Amino acid sequence: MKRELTPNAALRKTYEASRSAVLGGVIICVLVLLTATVSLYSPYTPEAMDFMAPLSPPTRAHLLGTDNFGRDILTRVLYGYQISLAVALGSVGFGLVVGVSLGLLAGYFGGILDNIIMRPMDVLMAFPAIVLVVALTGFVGRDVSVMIMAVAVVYVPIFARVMRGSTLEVVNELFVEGARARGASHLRLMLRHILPNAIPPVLIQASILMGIAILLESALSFIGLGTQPPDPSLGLMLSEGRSFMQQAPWMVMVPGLAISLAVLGFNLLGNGLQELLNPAGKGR
Amino acid sequence: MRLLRYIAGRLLLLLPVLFGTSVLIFLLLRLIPGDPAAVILGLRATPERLAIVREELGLDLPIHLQYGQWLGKVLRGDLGKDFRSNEAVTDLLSVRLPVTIELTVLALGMAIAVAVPLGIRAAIKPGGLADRGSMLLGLFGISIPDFWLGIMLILFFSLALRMFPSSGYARLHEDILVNLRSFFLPALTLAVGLSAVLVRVTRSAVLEVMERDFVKFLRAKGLRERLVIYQHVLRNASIPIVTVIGLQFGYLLGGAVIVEEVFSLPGVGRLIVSATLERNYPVVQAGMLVVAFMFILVNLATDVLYGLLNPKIRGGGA
Amino acid sequence: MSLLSVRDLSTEFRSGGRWLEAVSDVAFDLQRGEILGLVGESGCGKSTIAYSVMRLLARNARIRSGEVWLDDVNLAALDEERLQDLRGRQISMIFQDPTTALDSLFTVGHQVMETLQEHLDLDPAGARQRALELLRQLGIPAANQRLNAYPYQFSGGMSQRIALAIAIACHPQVLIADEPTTALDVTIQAQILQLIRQLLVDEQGAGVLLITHDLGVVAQVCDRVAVMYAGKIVEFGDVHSLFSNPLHPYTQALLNSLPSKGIARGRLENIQGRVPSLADRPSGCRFHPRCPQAKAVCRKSVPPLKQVSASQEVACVLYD
Repeated sequence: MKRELTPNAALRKTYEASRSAVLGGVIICVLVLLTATVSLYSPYTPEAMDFMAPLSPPTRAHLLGTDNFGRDILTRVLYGYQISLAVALGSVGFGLVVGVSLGLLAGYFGGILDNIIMRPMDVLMAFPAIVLVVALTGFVGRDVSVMIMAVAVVYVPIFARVMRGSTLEVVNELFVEGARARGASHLRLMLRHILPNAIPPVLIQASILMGIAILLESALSFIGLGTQPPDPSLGLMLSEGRSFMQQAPWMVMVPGLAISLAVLGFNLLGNGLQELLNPAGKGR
Repeated sequence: MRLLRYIAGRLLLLLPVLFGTSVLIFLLLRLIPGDPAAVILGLRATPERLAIVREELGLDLPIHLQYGQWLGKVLRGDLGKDFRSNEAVTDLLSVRLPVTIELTVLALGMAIAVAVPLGIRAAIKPGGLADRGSMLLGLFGISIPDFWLGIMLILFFSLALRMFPSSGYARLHEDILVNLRSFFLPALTLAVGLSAVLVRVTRSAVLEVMERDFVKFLRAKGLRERLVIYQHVLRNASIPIVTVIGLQFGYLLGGAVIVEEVFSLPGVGRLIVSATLERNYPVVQAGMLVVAFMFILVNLATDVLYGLLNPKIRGGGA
Repeated sequence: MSLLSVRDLSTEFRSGGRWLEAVSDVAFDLQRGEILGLVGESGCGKSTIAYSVMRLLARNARIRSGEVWLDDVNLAALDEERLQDLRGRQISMIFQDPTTALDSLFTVGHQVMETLQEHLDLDPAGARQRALELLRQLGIPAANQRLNAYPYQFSGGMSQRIALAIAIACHPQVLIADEPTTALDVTIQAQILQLIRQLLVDEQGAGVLLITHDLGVVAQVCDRVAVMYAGKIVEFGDVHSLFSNPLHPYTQALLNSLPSKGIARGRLENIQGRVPSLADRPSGCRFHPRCPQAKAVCRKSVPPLKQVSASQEVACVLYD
């Protein structure tokens, strides 16, 4: 009797994985919805200062308190998510398009082209993400679009690597051979046959990298290289709150929890999908 | 002999990466919009000073000669000058580097001490308390931003309980107790994220090894379970664990940048951040070079360790 | 008294929230100084019996009922600590794939010596001496140097010799060999079987439970044989009687599937149909859907194993 994952254990894992993916998806959807519509329902603007209530603890008027200028923290958090999500979407989107193209080419053609594409990727991966992002924004400029490009530069090699590996797994499959035998062109083989079959692991990676982009954006803003005041960014709020953390601990607690929640959502989604795709697989 | 050849092979593979890294760091200066010398000097720019900086950076040369000149200096151990203070960057780094190394090594130690035993327990008893604990750590540890965790630890342990200093520091050889006390919270902050990754890797590596045939045979020959797990399974699982630790060292270095900032520790990370904020680009370049070099070195060390653990590569036996 | 006595053993696997029986009411005795073969197609539960006896079942499997007596100890009800003490010392096991049975990160010597030191009161030097003797006994050339070698430096046949050395290191009374030669080529196969016979049975009077799907192997070394089908023993007897006069239609089909009768080796897959899966085992006699001589009654009643001659037992209504 061979020892294998019994259907039952596999089923339970599948159930747990899909539960995690659904929970993550719900968290993200709710955050996106609340964030996208914040101007419709919030009584405050992110810059509106209430001089009657600076450093107010959570009250009915200010559900999560106010900062030292009397700005409503909940409102600022929701506007802050807009920047976080914009950076995350922009950098993952850009990294995805470029990285997937490069990985696909490298994996499909192999040989010299593989080396020409992948060696520079190794170089980019020789830097810790945050160091590269700090340097790029530092040298080029402090701006949301620079931030997006800087994070994308970190992501391109990651996506390229995953896509290359995934392409290598698919490229010798029978259906690819079959299409090749029927005389399909390289472009058609890559786009119609390989891409759709090789992309799932990349998309899972994208979910996890969305979360990391949020972390990177807030870290960058935290050290003063990202979003500049008075724009509401979660990292910036955290950094501003440090001076008041004894009188008004909510000023540091709320933005931190907000970042964690969003990242948690993307991680739950990514991990859940990963287990669904590859139930016997190892964590990462 | 075999091991030496293996290490030599690894080193050879590293050369192009090292070369590429140096090109990238060099080119960063070219990304600056406008005249780098003017940006570096900012308000203090005078025609004479601009000329000095241009000369120092070789800005008047064609770009490949600029690179050649820069690389030549780097290879001779000259990482340039801090144009603000006129200090040699190598002097700056020699003070800063030990702080970062101590921080990352302590964090690594803490993470291994917690995550590896927890991961083993989780694997031995799936669904048990340790398994649930490791799942929570694995999920929250990577979701909580380390700078926020650091702030929370300061809020709780330094400001509320007054157990640890929130900032300040003594060098290791000056006062070891003060030193360790000031490093505890930053290292802990850094260790959480790493433990999250490590606990998951340990758990899945141990689970995977326990499924292998040789474990069944060890049990069939009546070896006590403690030896089965802590000698055989762990040794086998340590190969993927060590690999991941090496890969995660980059994460530690990156985390150090932020954590040093939060706890005001004068390490390389904080140096890079403050130099970036001050547009002190030669210092940033030097800092990045050091970080990338450390990262590559640790990866090499990981490869060597991997070879040492694996008799097939080590070429052991008769 | 028999060495190992399996009484009404039933083992089940958890699957889809249900427990499915892989082995049903199996009983047999293993005598001192004999090799008992356990044959059947893959999936018939023969390895499950081995793991049940060793109490090394996977997490999702358990012994539902029955007893496994080794001397006066019921292994099926023994606690983990005492089991660990008995394994390797009183009862050992070797597996199908010798190249994966050894830990690739430790020297072969270490793996032999740790077994010795676990069960016998030996110092490292004594253990090394004994390990050396074992390797020599098993015909491993340059044994002294080979002790320091790693498993990857051994061929499949040599690895199985090492595994055998480990299994017999503490002179167990019982060896369970689960398809020990399936992964090896024919000449090596014969050598390993020869070693088992010589070292365990002839010299020590131990008993061997040999699990195989290869009737050639059975004919070559076994004294008695139990034929299994879908979790039950359908026929039991000494090898001569069983090969010359197979009673159960399944046994007959098995022997007919051999290229030429007798010593020829063959595989069992040539019978019509397949072994039913755990989830949908047929009612009555489990072989009836594939049986050329099936009757109406076979659908309903389960035939018990019955003694039909001095040397043969069979579970089939044809012999009522």
